[in-house]
Amino acid sequence: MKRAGVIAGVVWLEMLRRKDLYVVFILLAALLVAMAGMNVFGLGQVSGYIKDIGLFAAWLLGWILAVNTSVRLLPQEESRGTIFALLAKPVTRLDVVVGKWLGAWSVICGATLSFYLVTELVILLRGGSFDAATLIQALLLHAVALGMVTAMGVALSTRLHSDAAATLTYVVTGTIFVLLPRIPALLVAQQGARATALMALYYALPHFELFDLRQRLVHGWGPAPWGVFAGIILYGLLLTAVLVMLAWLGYRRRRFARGEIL
Amino acid sequence: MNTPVLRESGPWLIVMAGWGLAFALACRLCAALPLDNGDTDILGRLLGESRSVLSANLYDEADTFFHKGVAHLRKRAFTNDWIQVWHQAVSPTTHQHTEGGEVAEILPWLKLATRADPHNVEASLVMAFWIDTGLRKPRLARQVLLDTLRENPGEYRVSLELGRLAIQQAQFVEAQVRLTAGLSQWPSVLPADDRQALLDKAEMLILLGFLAEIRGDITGAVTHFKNALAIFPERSYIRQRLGFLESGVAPPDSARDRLQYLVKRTVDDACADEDDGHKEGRHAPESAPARK
Repeated sequence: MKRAGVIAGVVWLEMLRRKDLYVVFILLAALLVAMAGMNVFGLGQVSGYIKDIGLFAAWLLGWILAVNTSVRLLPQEESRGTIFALLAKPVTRLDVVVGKWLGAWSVICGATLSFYLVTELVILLRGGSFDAATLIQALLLHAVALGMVTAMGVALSTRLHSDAAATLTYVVTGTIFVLLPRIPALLVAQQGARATALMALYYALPHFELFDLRQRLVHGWGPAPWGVFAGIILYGLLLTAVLVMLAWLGYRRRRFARGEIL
Repeated sequence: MNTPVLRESGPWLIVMAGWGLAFALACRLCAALPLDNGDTDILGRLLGESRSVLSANLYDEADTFFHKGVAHLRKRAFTNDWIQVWHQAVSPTTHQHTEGGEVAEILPWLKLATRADPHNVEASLVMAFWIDTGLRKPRLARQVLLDTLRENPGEYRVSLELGRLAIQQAQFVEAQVRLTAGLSQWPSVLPADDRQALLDKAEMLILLGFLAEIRGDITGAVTHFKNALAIFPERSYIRQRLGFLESGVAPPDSARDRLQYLVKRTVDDACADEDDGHKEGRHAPESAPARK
């Protein structure tokens, strides 16, 4: 795992060099400052909409960063030909996959933390605040959800080039976000094979909605029950482990021919 | 002719000629095409027709804020599996409404909804209601309604709301003008047989009837009440009042008191009406009370 940590460190250096994070961070800050500057009938203390927009932006930007970062790490090594140098070192394929995932996930978590901090800062300036315990829960669950998205991106990029992997990850995760929570309502009007297919999807795919505590945070409902919170964390970590495992299975026998790549 | 010079400047000449041609074509097209319909703000140009969808979403968000983040319940095929149980545990599910100063939290969403689509009259009316009753700023509510009327000149609902606001402020002359205008604009975009449109028309007629009574115009009041009864014959109070007026007997309660009662609305009314909506199984956003 130490070798995976070293690979993750390289991912960090690369991400800091690419400047994507700074651009996204500036974008979020500009959006929040513009929203905070909106004069709503002279109601200076109103901050609920900034909380909502800030957290929505944190989820949206976190998702975009997670997909775009995770899907390019392995194909990039191949297209540059650096995969040969990497695999020539005493590292296993598992180290590479775990290292890339860990690097991408930790970078995205760092970026997401900074999104939450800038949102909190703008809200403090407007005279509002988040409940600390709920904020910690929300941040941790968000981080685990990003871990799943990142693992899915890495898994798909082991067999597809980065553009195809990105498209597929966006489609799958987007569908999960939108469709999965609605399946119990959709099943009211469905029967037969269609209902069975929906049920299969419902239990097979990760339920991102469980990781979304934005409404609790924005409307001051306080922290979620800690037992349920721990259960959801465990569920997320388990699914992440499964997806990383899938990525390794897809990568462990992958053949690289220098002539095909270079 | 110097060939290298021509080779150097040739591409530039082609670019300039192309640009000149495009400029001339643009001038000609601008002169030939009719002017747009005045929908010239940046959002309108950027979003086109999708602005109404964005506005509706922002209006829904205001409704979510009114319910403190609790989403409207949908019928589900199952509710007892572990995913549903966990989701209910982490999501706010208790039916609640914003109270006190928290009411102000829904206003930014309504303002954004009306900015996204100035023709979203429903959002403007709800916004004016909350500014008036929640924040107790009737002047500001009136300004919002006037802005809405400027964007939607034929909307009777805005005129009705302005009329109600004027009655609350005991400005009966303005109320008369607004309600008469509203009556002439009715039914605006709604179908003439729409129940809410009919309720609104009856309300305008009844308010105009009481305003006529205050002016001492009993004939006018009788006409308005009769027209209202033609729409809803079961209104026993109006029938009784009509009887008093036609027989020349003074009604037991004054027209002023009755008018104030009719236009008085509180935040509690909105919440109670909203709760009734839930009992009846209505799921559409209802952040303002139904009219009496």
